[in-house]
Amino acid sequence: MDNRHYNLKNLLTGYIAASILLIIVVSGIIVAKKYGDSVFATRKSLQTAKQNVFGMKEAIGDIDKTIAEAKMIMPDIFDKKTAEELIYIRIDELKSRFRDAEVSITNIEYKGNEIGMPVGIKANKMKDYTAFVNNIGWLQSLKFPFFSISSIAVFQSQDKTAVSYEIKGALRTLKDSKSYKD
Amino acid sequence: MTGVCRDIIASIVEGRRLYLARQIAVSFENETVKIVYASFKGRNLLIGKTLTLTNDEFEDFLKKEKSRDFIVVCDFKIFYQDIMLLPPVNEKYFKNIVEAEAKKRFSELKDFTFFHSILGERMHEGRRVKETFFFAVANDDLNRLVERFGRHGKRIRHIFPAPFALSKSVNSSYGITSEPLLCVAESDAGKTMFLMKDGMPHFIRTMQSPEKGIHDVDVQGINMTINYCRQTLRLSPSQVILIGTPCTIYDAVMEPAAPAICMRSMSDITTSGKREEPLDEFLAPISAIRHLKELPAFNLLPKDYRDFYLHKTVISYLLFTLLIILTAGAFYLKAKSSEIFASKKKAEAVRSEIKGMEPIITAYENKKKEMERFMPLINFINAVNASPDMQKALIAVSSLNYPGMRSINIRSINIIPEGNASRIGIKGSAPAKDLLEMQQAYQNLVVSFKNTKGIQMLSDRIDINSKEFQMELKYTEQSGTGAQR
Repeated sequence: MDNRHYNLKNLLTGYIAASILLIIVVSGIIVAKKYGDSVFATRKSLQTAKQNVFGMKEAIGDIDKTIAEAKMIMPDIFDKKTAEELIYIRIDELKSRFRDAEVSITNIEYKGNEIGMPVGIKANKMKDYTAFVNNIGWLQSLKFPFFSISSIAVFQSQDKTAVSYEIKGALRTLKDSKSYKD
Repeated sequence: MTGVCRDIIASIVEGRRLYLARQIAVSFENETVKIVYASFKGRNLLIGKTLTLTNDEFEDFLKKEKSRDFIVVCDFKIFYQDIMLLPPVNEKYFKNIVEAEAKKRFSELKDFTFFHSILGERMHEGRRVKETFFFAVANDDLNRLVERFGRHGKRIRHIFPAPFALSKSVNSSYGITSEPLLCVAESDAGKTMFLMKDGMPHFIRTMQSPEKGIHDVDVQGINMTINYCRQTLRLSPSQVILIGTPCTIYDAVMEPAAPAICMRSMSDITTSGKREEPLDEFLAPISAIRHLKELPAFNLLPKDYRDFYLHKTVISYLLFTLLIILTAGAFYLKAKSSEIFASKKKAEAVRSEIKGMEPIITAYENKKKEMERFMPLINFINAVNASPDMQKALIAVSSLNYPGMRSINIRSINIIPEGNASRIGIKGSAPAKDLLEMQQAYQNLVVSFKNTKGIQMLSDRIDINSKEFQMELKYTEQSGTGAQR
């Protein structure tokens, strides 16, 4: 009997030892799985970061180009005049361009960094539709201050002898435009 | 572990051994030990080596033999047998009743291993009883056998009493018959006689015999046994079946009380190689191997040992399974570790690459800051440029000057920006001499707008009484037609 018990005891000891080893191995697998997942995730993030760095390299060029283009849009006169002064200069230009029209203005409005002056251009007799269309194109091409058109209305008089028009809009620019020229 | 599980596991283990492995049966006969090596080849039993050893030689044999499992057949000097009449109870409790009855009948029997077989049911003193054959051997005798093997690291799978092993061969030779048969077999201990009916031994008797084979003294013994069977058991053997040597060496003048015949040879047995001793000398161990599948009911291996072997087998299998899982797990862990290590190495390489790109990041950060300073300007320019090209819208509606539009009188055109499109409202009249002309003129105008690239008609209506109309158009600048600002 002793021999048998000894034999069984040995087997049981082996079994327990194998079980403990198995627990260790299974725990190791779980830890390795979690650690592996985290390493893979880190690697993926790093690879994305690497791609992003290449993206950054391209982005630097894009930013330079954008800033240069933005600077180019701004006229050189920015260095010498304030935004308000530029608006007033533009009003004078409008008046000389639309000689046959009445240019009405209201006070300058300040909205954050932006300033604007509502402008109305009204003429009772349109001489030439093509010239009118060209003037609209000219208004749209203005920069610093820009002319934002809010409506264009063309009317025929009751006796059908004359065509009148009215352009409503605003001259808009940035308050501290000068700083962007630096 | 439940009994059912135990039986299932035992039968699986046993089945595997029965059909896959070579079997070694050891027959203990007084002072000699007979050994048979055999294996199944299909349905036939192939007998290999046979050995006849003394007890001392057997110890050497156990030391040298590499096989671990043995079947033991034994001619027990002391055994206990009886036919009991027991109440018919549930099979689950019947074994306990048999054991209790055995202890009652054989007071000297304390620690023993037994088996029983139900011979039939009959009425006894007005009660229904189960006629049960009982056979027991003291555990001291059995343990001595098991430990003899155990000392050499060997294991006994089964211990069968020789008559029970032989009874299966008698059954396969003669079929199971209800006629009582008295079987006579020879061993070194003498003659063993057992009475069989319905394929089951009912009574066993050993008789010392000075010589091999059947002589007058043996016939006397046979006749005495037949008389005993008739008088005590009320069974009259119709034939005496001589098994092995008693058949080959028959030298008696006296006639047995029942006709004697020899047991037919076993046709499904083949032998390999030459042998000095005839197979007749080894019939008991051969029968044990040949009928191993039918014999487990007569296994006298003590319960302690059976449980021990079962536990050992179960634990061994579990341990084996565990080790396989453990090995697989260890390999997986190793593979995973290598994978992690490689991945970590790659991650480190990418990290150092990124570190080398630090100037780019710094330059980007600086540019980003500069860009942030310019963002209000850029946003302002984008917002201003987002408004639609009104000049284009005016050019689009200039189709009103088309000569076909002479009968259309435009009163007003109103253009307002709406997102990246211009919404155009047109009011006017179609002063024609009749309605048909009015309709045609108006239709021309509508079709003209619909055909104009970039113009979408949102709504249009004309009042046929006043001939006044108004329409809503949407002008969207088409790609590639944008005016330069």
